[in-house]
Amino acid sequence: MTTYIVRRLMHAVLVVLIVSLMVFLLMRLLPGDPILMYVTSGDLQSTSKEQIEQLKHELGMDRPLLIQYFDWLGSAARGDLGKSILYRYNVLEEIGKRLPITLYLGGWSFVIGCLIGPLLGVVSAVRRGKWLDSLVTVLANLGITAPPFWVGAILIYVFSLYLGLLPVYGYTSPLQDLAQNLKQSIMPIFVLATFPVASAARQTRSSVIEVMRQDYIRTAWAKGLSERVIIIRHVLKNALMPVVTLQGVLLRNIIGGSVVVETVFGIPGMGKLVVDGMLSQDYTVVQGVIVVVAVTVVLSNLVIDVLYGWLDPRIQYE
Amino acid sequence: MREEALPPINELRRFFRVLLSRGVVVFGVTVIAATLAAAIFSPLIAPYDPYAQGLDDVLQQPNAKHLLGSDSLGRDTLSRIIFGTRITLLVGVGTVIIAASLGTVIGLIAGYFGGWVFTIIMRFTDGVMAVPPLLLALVIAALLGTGVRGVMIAVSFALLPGYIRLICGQVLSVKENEYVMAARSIGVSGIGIMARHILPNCLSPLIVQMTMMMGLAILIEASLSFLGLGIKPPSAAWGSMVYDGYKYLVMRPILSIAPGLAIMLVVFAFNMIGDGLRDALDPRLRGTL
Repeated sequence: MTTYIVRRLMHAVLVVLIVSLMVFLLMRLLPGDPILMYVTSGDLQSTSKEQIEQLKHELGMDRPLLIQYFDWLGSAARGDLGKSILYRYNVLEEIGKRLPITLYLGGWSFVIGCLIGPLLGVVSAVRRGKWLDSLVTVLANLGITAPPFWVGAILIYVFSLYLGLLPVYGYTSPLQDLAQNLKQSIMPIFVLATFPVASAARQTRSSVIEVMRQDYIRTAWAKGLSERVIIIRHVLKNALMPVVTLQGVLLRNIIGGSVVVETVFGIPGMGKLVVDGMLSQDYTVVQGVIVVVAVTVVLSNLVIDVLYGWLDPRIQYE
Repeated sequence: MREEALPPINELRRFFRVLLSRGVVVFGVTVIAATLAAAIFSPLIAPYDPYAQGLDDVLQQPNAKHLLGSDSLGRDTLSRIIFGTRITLLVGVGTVIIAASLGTVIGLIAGYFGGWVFTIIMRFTDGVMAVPPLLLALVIAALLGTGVRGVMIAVSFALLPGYIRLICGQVLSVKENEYVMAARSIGVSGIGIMARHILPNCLSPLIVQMTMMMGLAILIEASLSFLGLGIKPPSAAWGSMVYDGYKYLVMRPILSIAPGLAIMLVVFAFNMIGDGLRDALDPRLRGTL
């Protein structure tokens, strides 16, 4: 097990390195000049060509690409993700302020997805063909198709603008004002959790139905065991395995979804940071955020894989 | 003594019978057929020019003249939704075809040759998959500049690793079969084996994945347009229509609701067809979805 974890950690480092190189090259090789953006956005309209060259030199952008990359990578390894080209703030510090917000909202959505999704899936599969099953299936299918930004807009219209129950946008730390935090977080968490709940419900329903067709379940019925015992002891243990593997994908989706949700609800998290960074082509910010996102995704996948092996002893770590 | 021949099973007929046995799949097929017709015949169906602005018609409520109201520039919402089917289908279908074709070739190469080719391709795929598809598409679309071309490249790239993994996994299992070994032993070339023996066995999961991904591609495009990094106005893209309407949510919620419903309907339709195809192509999963 320890060898497996060490090997997976080395693999995780390799994946993060690949992501860093990929993003670095994308930002440099594709069209779009952040320096030009910087020059035209500020009070530097009259900057001469020489001054632009000087600025590039100061930012180290006149050096060969690979040297720029290794320089940036070395700094990143020491915990320095550089400074925002446009606003000159420290990228890691800014991420440090925003990451907890994204993780707070995403974490709740993930927990809700892990609990409610499988529960709905099991209920739906057990009551297959009944009205409850049809209801869950329809809701789950709608949940995976609804565009998050649109669901957010509808919620804002109904609960904030029409009923006046919840604030339209913003974020307050739970440590600062818990009541306000709850009011502001309900809608974003609902939107972020919609896809994980729907997707986990569909997957669970499908795998429970498949498990219920197995011979050992028929044997359990024949033995005269109660439905509760069969479902909990025999069906769930086997049916939830594929759902655990789905969690990695769901987590990735939640982080991706935060980009849209934080923009809709005006939440100052990582998603909003990357959209603002992209709109202003502030590539040090975008690079920093993507590397942090990749580290988060890769590490959580590692945890999920280890958990999967722990839950299912049939899996051998080679 | 001649054996009495069993009546031949018409595979195609059985495929369609299973595919269309569920009401939601028929619904999905109908919606996509209607969307396709709307995209082809937009100029004939749409009541107005989707780009025609009218100062007298600014932010109209739904009425007899404008069935779904009009936006802040007086453009007819219904006409813009009808014309929006073109971008939606172009991006949805186009990006999936690009990603699936490239992914199939790369996946075949990785799976068939194995060794360091496999390692390099799969590590690259792992890297791309560590970034959420929307985030990746966002970065590429922003760098390539807004517009249909930039969005299509961005969405295709975001979808690519899924296909590489799928095909590579299929190849790894198919290439162990005896008929592949037999083909190799009689001297069939690598390309020949891939094209004639391995690829046909990968088609079923590929078709299912493609249909499912069309919905995702449409959602990513709509999200990019909503964030202002996708297809920009005045083009009639549903995502940017939701964003435009978002500014007038209090006054005219229909401006956001209508294009959002259109996105949902088409994505739902593609997903249902995908479910139906999975049922029809993989008998083991039949009835579980």
